[in-house]
Amino acid sequence: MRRLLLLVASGVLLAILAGSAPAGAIETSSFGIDVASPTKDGRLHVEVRAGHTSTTTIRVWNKDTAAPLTLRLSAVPARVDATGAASLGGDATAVKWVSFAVKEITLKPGERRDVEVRVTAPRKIAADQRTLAVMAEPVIAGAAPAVMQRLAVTTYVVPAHGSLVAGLGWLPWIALIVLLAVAVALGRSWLKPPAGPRVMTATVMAGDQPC
Amino acid sequence: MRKSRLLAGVGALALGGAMAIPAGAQTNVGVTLTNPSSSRTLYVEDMAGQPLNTLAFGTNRSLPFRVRVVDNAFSRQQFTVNASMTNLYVDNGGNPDPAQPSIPSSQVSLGSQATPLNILNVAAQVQPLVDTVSTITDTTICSVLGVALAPVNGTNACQLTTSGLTGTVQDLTVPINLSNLTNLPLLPQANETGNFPWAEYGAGTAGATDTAGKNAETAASQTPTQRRMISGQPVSDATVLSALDTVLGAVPQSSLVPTATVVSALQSTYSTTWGLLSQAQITTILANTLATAQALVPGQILSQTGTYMSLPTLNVDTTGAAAGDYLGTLVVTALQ
Repeated sequence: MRRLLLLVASGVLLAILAGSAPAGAIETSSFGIDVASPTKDGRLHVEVRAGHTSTTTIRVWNKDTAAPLTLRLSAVPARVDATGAASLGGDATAVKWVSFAVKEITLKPGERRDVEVRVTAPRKIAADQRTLAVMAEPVIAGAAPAVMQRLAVTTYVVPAHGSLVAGLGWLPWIALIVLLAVAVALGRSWLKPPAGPRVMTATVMAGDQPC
Repeated sequence: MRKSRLLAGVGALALGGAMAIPAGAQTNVGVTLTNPSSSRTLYVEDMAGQPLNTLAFGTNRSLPFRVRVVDNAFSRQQFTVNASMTNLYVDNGGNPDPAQPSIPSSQVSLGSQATPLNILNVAAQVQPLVDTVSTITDTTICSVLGVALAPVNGTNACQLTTSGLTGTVQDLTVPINLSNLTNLPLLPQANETGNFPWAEYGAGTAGATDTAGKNAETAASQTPTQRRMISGQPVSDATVLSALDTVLGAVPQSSLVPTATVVSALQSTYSTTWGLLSQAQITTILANTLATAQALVPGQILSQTGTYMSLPTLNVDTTGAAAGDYLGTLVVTALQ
């Protein structure tokens, strides 16, 4: 009976959670998007290190309780002005660094899902913070719609302090080992006495006496 | 406020479940929820409030529509809604035909209706700090608490004070004057006007198959032109705070702070003797307590509610276009 009550309470809780949008969420009438872990400004903040991949997570959901919905995810340029106002467009540098665990995601009726966003910085990056937008749009079968609604979350890509140039990993050690091996080989051949020609000389001296 | 209602709802439902179970099997189940129903929703609609599904420019080549953002107890975060536009392609059996001459997006523009902005149902959810003064003429109570009597408005009384109590969350309705929006905690801005020099070729749009157009735009190092449809910016200046203080001043003082909070604060202040008071004496103190909200500071504005509506027109210049039906996509992006 206690289990039954727990189930009832859990059901009530799940029903409430399923029927409500996450805090800070933006939505259309059919789908929504949000940061998976709450942030102070409702935006994504990703700290990156040169040559490394950082990850963060967004949450998307299907508001339709009767039909599935497929969303396409992408990263697009965005800018933020001094007042904090964001708009689309601007520098596309960091857009190329972004990839998604899945580019298209099909959500069951009422389903909510978290998707990993990966930001892979090149081996050398500038110290400047970059901005972009992680965007979701519905994939609609058939003819292109007259009006398409997209939702996007502003994303800050922040280089970690002291990590603007990636290390070379094992490469220097491998190079050092190769250099040492070459040096050893050269050293051995230089130190070794020229045995062959001396033997030849001795042989010639012994065998050619009749001349 | 919202959280309280929600907890009450959970409690009521849990009670409903418990009533169906024999009394001996009742178990308490703790449930905690944190602000789960806050949302910001974008709608793109025709002027009748229906979803905008077609771009019917009509004989005057102008389509009025509306972009509505509805905030429900949403934190005061900035938002922008941008629009981009594809070229208008000849309708070839229901599909856009990029091989035929199109109407370039540069001949499509955003304009404004006579009233470019409308705002409805704005409220701010605030949690004020509250000061209380209890003016007690009952000498016994004053004596028990060890507070000296003094003349107050011509009567001998003792005064018990508390300061900075956490008040009840208030849902303050904000008056709207479209000609002066400086009192709004989230200041909306209507759409900008102008054409779309660079077209949208994104996946799923009417321009998606126009590879020549996309390549030309890429070669020119351009991206689709984005026009602001509507935006909102949080404002916490003195005008906004003063306007909210005025509304807060009209809240009945009995609603400003929970009684339990006042009792707890007084108990803490007069900790050594508070326990000697009877329930009747405590009731007397509370009946003579005046609560006053302190002036609000920006951090006490927890969230805001409101409907922010931009009223643009989408116009097309058909100069040079062949007669016929055309297909295009208006892309509306809400950016958080």
